Amino acid sequence: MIEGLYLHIPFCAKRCAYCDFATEACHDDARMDAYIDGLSLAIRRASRAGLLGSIKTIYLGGGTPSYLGTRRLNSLVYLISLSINLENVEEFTVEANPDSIDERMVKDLFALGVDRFSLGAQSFDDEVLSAYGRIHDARQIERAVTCIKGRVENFSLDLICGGPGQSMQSWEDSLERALASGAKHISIYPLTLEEGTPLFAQVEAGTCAPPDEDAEADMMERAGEVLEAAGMHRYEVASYAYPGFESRHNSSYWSGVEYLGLGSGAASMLSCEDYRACIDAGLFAPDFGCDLSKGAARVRVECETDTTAFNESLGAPHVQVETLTDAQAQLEDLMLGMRKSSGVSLEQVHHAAAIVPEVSGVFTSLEERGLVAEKQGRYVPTKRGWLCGNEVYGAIWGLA
Amino acid sequence: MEPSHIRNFSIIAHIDHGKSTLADRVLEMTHTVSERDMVDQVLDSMDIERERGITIKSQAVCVLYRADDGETYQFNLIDTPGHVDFTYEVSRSLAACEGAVLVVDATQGVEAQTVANALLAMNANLEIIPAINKVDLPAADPERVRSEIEDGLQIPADDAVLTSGKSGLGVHELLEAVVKRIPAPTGDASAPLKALIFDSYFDAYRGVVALIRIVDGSIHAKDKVRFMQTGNECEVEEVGVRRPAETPVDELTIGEVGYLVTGLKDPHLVKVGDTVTLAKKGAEEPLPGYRDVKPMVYTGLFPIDADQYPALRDALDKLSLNDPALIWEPETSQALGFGFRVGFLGLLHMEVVKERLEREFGLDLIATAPSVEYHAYLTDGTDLMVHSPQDMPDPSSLDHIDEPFVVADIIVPPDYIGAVMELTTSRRGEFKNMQYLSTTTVELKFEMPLSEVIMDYFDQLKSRTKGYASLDYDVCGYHPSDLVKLDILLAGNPVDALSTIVHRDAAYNRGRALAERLKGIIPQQLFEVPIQAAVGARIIARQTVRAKRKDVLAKCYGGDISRKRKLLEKQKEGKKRMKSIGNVEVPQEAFMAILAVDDE
Repeated sequence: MIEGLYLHIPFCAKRCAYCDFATEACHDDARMDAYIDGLSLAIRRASRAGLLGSIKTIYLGGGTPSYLGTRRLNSLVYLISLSINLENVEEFTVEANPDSIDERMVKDLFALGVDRFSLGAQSFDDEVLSAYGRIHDARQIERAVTCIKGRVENFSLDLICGGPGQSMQSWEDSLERALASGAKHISIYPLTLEEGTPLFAQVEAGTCAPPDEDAEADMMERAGEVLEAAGMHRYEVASYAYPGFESRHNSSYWSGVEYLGLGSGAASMLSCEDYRACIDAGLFAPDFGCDLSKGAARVRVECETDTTAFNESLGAPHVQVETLTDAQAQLEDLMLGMRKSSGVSLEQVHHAAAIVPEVSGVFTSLEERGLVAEKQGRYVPTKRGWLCGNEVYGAIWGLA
Repeated sequence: MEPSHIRNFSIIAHIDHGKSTLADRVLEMTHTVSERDMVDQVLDSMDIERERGITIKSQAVCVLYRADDGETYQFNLIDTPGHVDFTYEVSRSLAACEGAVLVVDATQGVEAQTVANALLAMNANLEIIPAINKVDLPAADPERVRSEIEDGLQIPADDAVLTSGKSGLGVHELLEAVVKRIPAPTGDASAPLKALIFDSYFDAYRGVVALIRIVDGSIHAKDKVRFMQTGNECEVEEVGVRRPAETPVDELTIGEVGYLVTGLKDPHLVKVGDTVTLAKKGAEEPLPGYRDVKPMVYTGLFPIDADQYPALRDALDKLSLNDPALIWEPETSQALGFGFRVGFLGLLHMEVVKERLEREFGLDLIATAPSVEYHAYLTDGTDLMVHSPQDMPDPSSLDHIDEPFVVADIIVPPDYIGAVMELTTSRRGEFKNMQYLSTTTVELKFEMPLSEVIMDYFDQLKSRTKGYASLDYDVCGYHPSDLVKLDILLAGNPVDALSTIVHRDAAYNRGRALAERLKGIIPQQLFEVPIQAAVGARIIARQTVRAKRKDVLAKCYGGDISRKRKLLEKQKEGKKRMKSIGNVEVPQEAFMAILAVDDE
């Protein structure tokens, strides 16, 4: 049963200095039109094949979906509303950047069924924004927030800490202003240096200091204090929300729920049966290298990133397929579960130990090392376990 | 072949003077190797030799040459290594020859190994033909080189042959000089067989194959032979010559060089330097053998994966068959588990052996910092050999300790005399004398501890002389030294594999430099890791690797999951290459850190 639908919009006005996602700066209307046509066709095919009957969450991400403009977004979301029974959908999020969202867009999308926005604010400090290579300033964030609040109260802001030259004071100010905006959900990311990005080149050339892990740790801890004092709670490594405003769609990524990703570079997690159905429906080109004859507990699929492949005339996109055994799937669930404040239940660990006996010992040793604590029948991450999450995830996945 | 038509000779040179390339041209000119099969440096058959452009093992090959006098001669050409570590290989090869071609680079002139190898050849009473090579290079200065050979080595160089291994220039003249100037071998064809084993190797199908030079008598397939030193006997399965592919012949007779297939499956039954004779009515006296070679540098070799311990032992066993300089004994380290203390001729020898073990035998190894052989004299009148810092006796029971000293022979342009003096005296070197080989080349002699030479001395020497200096050294004896054991503690626990023996005056600087360097090598862990350097109970330096505060893949949505999982798998691979000591993860480089410490 596919419960999540992710649609990828791989276009931006400009690539940010730190970004290594599947996206491109695009100023070609015909190209974007063709992409939306191709994506729409894929949604119709999925719908006709009956794959979208259980969808509970929809997420339109990117890139910058708002950069498509109201006309294209309207036609895409209208098509979605015809293909999926939105009555059963619990959360429908659209990502936006402050410079490309307006009142008209918010009103139209809300009318068509969108009930949540995720705004890429990143910082309220104009100098930091410019170092990140963002094309908007703090004032535009506030204007975008006003537009969103005209229709929708449930919106999220993304903030990045540890940027070049960012002081603790600047960071605290961004946190305060994010809270003051009325956001119900805030995502906190430490800046990471990705190979091939402009920021990486600057650091290599010595014109920009590399992110300081200690400063980032301080800022992440400070974020926790400020946001929790305001009544938010941290429900995942990077995610804070007021109770009831946790992202349902994102939570499905950490809970072993099946989701379908369409569009350039989009990822899906499917059962064997649904994967086959997707191929039959023409959503993915068959991968002849993938042998499912022995079955697999779960199939992970990633679409190629060539945006023209979604043009109607070109048919189904090529995909990369990875199959997981039952043991791997269970370990993956434990690993992803430990990203959440709710952690994993002792039963779930016990269950996994039936096929991977070492897993019990791993949890005991993580507990001894102060990375994991046992609380009310569940293993949950400690503060240390959040900040040094890779130790936890690595120890669990290391058994696969 | 009539002995009068046989010439046995070696080519000797300083490393990189073009010896192997010149040998290639000889093979080409004598049509031994068709152009189709010509790979650069035919005689260097090991991967490592070709990659590094150096010769490690001696190689022997037999070629036929039709000389200008119309006669055909059999040349047995023995290629030799040029590096200081492999002097022993050279002297082994020279014992099988009547002459040597001394190759000197026309742009570099006489260098330290030129001197060392020329001396070996003179001591073996060989006829030496100087060849000034690379004369076609723009920087070539054959006249200067000629005077260096005459003044520095006291070898007449009037009729030195000018050659280019690259273009083949002068190779014909060189071959003619070999015919005319190198004496034919002498021997008694009717006397009982006497053949010198100058090298050997192990073949999985044919057992031990010995490379031999016949001195008296002759040898045939099916002969029953005896190895005079070990007393072992076998039936000869095959004799032949290398052209360079092994080619069986009916008989090897006086003066000839060839191979002998023993069929013996135990590598230890055949000893290089031994004399082969007939089992019945054999010779009475063996040929003078080789002096047993002594390793100068010792290091611990430990498998990263403890399961590879037996494989490491087998691999060392196989390598030592034709490398008598390689010796080892089991060693146990608290930090690294089971391994071996291995003795080498020098650092290059050590590097080459480690690389062969890893590459040819698929082993993952940690090597500890190299050490020399110390002689410790205890207060109770006993004494012991110390090959490893772990064996260092407690200071309270120690009367005194001697360390090996070498005479280091350095050849440089005069501009760098100051730099060499400064470096060498800072390494406890004592200046002995200086001699101008020509106006542009000077030879300096120092007496210094071997332990200082093996501590990146050569690298430092090269870098401070812009690559011009060449070095040769020879152990000259043991002298008492004020030595202490420098220990390293990680998170409060001494790590035996990181201990070193140093001079007391250098301990403080070394300790501080080493702690600092380790700080850069040991990755951040979840907890703070203090690094301390100590002499006895006294801490002389301290550094701290701060605890890792943050290590998390913050963004993890749909497509990130597979990617980030792969990242975790990569991290895990990285951890596998580290050794867990206590609860501290230590990368392999840490154990060699001591070598690269610049303590100034």
